[in-house]
Amino acid sequence: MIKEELRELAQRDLDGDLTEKEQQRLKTALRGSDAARREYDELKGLVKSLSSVKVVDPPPHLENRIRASLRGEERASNPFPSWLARIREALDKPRPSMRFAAVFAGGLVVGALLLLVLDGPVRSWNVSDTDAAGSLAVQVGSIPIAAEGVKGTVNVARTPTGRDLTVNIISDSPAAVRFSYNPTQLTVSSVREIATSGGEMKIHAGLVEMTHSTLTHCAISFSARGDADVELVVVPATGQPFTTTIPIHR
Amino acid sequence: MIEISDTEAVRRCRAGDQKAFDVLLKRHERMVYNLALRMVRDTDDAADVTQSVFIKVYEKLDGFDERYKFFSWLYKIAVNEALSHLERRKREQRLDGIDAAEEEEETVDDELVERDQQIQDGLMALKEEHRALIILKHMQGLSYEEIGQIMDIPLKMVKSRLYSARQQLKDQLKRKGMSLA
Repeated sequence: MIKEELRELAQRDLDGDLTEKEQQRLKTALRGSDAARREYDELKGLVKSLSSVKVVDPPPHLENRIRASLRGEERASNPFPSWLARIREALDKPRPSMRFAAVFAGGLVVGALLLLVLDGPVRSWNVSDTDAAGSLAVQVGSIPIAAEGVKGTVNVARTPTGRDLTVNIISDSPAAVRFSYNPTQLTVSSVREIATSGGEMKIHAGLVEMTHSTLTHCAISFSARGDADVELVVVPATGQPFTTTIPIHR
Repeated sequence: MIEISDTEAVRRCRAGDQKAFDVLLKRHERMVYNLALRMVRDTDDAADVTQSVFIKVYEKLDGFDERYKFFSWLYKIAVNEALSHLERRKREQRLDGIDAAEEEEETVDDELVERDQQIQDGLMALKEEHRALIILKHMQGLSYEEIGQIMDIPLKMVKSRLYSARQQLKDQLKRKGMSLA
């Protein structure tokens, strides 16, 4: 048997891929060659070592981190509540009564949304009793971030002294994320990187900047002396920057 | 929650049941994390890859074809995500002027016992596609057919590449003085 053929049989045997006849041929060939036998044993040893490599437990916080990101994703991809989605679904159905009800309900929703938009730049107002940081903050809004190759959300939570902004961004290529504010009106009380895919974070008075990240998940706490704004700018690798202004009140 | 199949969990997710995605996350997180860890070596990077995988799965759930196994689809996303991560890391290292080999030496994980570290060293020396094949076959226990679906290559190519990857890994480990007999 030529060396290549023997090697192929040996390899296939490791995966249990040989017929009885082929197994017999392999055994006979191995008996006749010490070098082939040695190589076969080494390959068997390799497979055994590979299958006994320790299975590692994921970090305990990872599951929660993924859930937090998914909550951000859901808000970004579906800024409408589920009941509005159901109305939109109903509009596609051919039943006239359903269509009328859906159009009527849709009108009410559009009116309500208009009121919210006119009320300020924070687009949806959901009250929950905790925020991503697990503090006593109350979530008050969520703003979708969308630029070329960039998706995400900034969740806004009210705290006793100001606002917690939790930012989730996923981009196809490195993007820069900047928070600028007036340092005489606002102070940053904490900045936590929950997850990033590399890159760096710079903190100056009046500016928190994260660069070269394709995955950014961070939380920033602002304390306010009065009413002030934070300007969030996301600069994608290509295309127009995304800019939004977030009001911070004490 | 009562034990439900992956396919049933996917159906419920599509219908808006958030808890059903938790079932998929809990069931497959460990497997995805270990696949990522073996591919990228660093524990923080593996966690990032795992997170990105589940976000992608969540986003693409509507596109999942129920004729296929969910775990094959998940593995496919996980392998692609790990390969993209390695590509990005190489690009960043080139920009920063860091030698990839030096970087690898620095990020050896303490959790891995010595023999596992030697194997991990050997895996890192392989081409990424070969590394993925070895991991899927010998650490995740998948069949040739499943690997073919995940890697999008014909069965014959799975076998030939796997043979070549194994041979290279064996030679690599022997050169480093590891006993395989």
